[in-house]
Amino acid sequence: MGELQIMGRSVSRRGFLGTAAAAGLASAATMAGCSSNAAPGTGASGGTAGKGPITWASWANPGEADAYKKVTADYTAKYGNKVVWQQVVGDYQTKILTQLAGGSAPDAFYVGDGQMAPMINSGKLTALDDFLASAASPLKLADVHPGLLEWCKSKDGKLYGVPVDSNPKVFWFNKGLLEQAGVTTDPAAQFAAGTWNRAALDDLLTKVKATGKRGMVVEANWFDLFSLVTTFGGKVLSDDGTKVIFDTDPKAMDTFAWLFDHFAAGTITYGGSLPKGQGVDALFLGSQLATIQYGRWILPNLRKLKNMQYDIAPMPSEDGKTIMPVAVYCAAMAVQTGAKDSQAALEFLGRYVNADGQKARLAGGGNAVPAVKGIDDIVLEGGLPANAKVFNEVATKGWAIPLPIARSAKVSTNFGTETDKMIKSGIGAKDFATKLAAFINAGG
Amino acid sequence: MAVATKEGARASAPPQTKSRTAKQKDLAFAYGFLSPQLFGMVVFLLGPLIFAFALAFLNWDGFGTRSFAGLDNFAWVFSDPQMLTSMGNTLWFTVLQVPGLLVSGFMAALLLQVTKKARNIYRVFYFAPVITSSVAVSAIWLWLLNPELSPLNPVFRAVGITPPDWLQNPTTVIPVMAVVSVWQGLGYQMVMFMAGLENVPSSLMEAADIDGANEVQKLFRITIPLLSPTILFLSITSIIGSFQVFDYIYFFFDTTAPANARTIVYEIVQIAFREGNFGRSSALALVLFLILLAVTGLQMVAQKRWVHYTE
Repeated sequence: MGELQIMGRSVSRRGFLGTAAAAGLASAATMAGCSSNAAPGTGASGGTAGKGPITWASWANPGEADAYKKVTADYTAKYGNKVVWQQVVGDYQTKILTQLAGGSAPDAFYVGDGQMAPMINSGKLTALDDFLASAASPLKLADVHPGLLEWCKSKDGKLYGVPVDSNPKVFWFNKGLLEQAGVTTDPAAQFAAGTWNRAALDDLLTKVKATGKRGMVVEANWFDLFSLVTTFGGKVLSDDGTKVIFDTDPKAMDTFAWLFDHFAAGTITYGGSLPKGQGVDALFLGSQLATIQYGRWILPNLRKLKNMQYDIAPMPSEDGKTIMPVAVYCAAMAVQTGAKDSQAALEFLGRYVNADGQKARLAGGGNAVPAVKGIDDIVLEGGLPANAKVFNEVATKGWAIPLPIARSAKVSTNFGTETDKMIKSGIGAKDFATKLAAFINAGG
Repeated sequence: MAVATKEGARASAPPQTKSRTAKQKDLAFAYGFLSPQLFGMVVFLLGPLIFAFALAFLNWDGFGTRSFAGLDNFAWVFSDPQMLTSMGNTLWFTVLQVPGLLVSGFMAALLLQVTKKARNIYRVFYFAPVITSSVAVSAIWLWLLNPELSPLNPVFRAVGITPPDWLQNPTTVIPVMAVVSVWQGLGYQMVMFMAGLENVPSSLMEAADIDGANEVQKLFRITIPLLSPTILFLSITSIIGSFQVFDYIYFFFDTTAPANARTIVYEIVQIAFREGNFGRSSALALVLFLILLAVTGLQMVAQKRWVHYTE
């Protein structure tokens, strides 16, 4: 019974399993070895130094994919480097991390704001400081909006990525729904008049609720929660940016109390971590929501709605006339240490993220805002929204993902879940702020 | 039958007179033919299995050096509040989904058994969701469950009910996912039960009729006992499948599932690839493996009491 018959010969089951286990161990060791076969800073040789070929990768929706293909082809034509773009479909972070671990990652690739710290810690990204300080760099770092760079740095201050563009939080509003609600002066006009403050927002939300529509949705993410704090003059971070202090800042606590009052009154809807297809944008596009606090990424879908009148304003502020710093979503381009031609990959990065590179991608109906100075007009193309210049002003002043979140994979991964759990538990604003700050400062 | 099998095996055995060289040659051929499959099994199954087992006792972020963690990863699995919540969610999903699948599959099979002409048409309709990808199924249900845009909302409003926010409500999110899962898996269960029902001897039914048994008595005294091997098989595979639920949650919520919607496999993926903690993730995977091993073992032991084989 304990033997297997193979072609008439007895092989003991124990022997067979032992052989298989040994082979398994050997293959496990081999696979483990695969994860560390690329020494940092030493890429395999390929092509003439500085001439590529270069592979780069990013996520992309269909519109972005067309733009990236064109940018890639144009780059090859202009600089003579063969460049290949890989579209990563599905779970971007998992796939890139796996490719990096296996030594098969593209030379340059996009890194999301919650993914930068683990990638820096992996030792697989190239520090960019020397290259960007050199004469060969197509990008001058001083051109990049300063608030958008910190998350791309390691704890010792080295830079590992540069934002490819940005998406600052602005206050989109549906003109028709506001008119129906009796809001006679819209947020853009109120900002121009210097009256776009918390009281004006309260009035707007109360009037919209009376119509049966939703006035505003706040989701369980730092982009929404902390923008409200800073736009009303509160502080989220300590002066060195390494800890959150909103739980001890009076203005921040006042804002959280104001927000929780609105949740209780139903004038602001808590969106939780909304599932795909039930996002806030779907409500806004479906005219079920009067305002939405998003970036420029929603514009391509809004353009398709011929009957909807919309515009943007900055987020409201204490004095009603100042554009305060609020959150900006960013993704960065980085170069891996095992790039086949590091010089060519770095030059590609510089040309991709400099003003010319961003202009090439964002022209003709782009869905983002430049992260560099000098190409402000790009967001004014097509005249939509009417007040589009606000995008640039907010991006210039804005801040990207807070460092205590960016530098802890556990916090960035679980921020939404923890926040959602706290809010749904029914705790008050003070306890919420205290618990959330403790969660972030403890690194999860 | 047993004798015939032994005789057959004896007849196919190599002649005793075969030389040692010929035997070795045969063995080499055997291993040669087996090697592609063995290679795949070792590289893609056994190797990763052993590697994951080892990782459960290590600290590793996927890139740097590994350090020995002892049983810390397991201690974390059983002490982290979210892990306990996710295990509870998984168990709750299993409790709802497995009986739901078995009962609905059995009922559908019974109904189709008495349907004569249109049986194959119904079978196709019931089976269609099984061969539809979970992503497509999730997309359809995401629309149906949307509190603002669902076509079911007018029905709710017509009877005076505010359309629930199924996926955001901590109480409804797991039951809703169980419903979606039962809807998709019903066809497979039904086909398996239909095959089982075909094998219930008509002579037993006729004997029961002669004895004056009614339909309910025949169902509980003959049909269900004779279907017990099918029920055992389906319950084992359903439990294993339900403990591994991931696709619906991932499609519905992406990487930001609320606490009450997260399951064990969802956590395994999040902890490994989002948090970069392969040690804890592997420990959780190993715990899941042991849970499934124990549950399946218990079922195999318990089947001696309630599973009836006709031969």
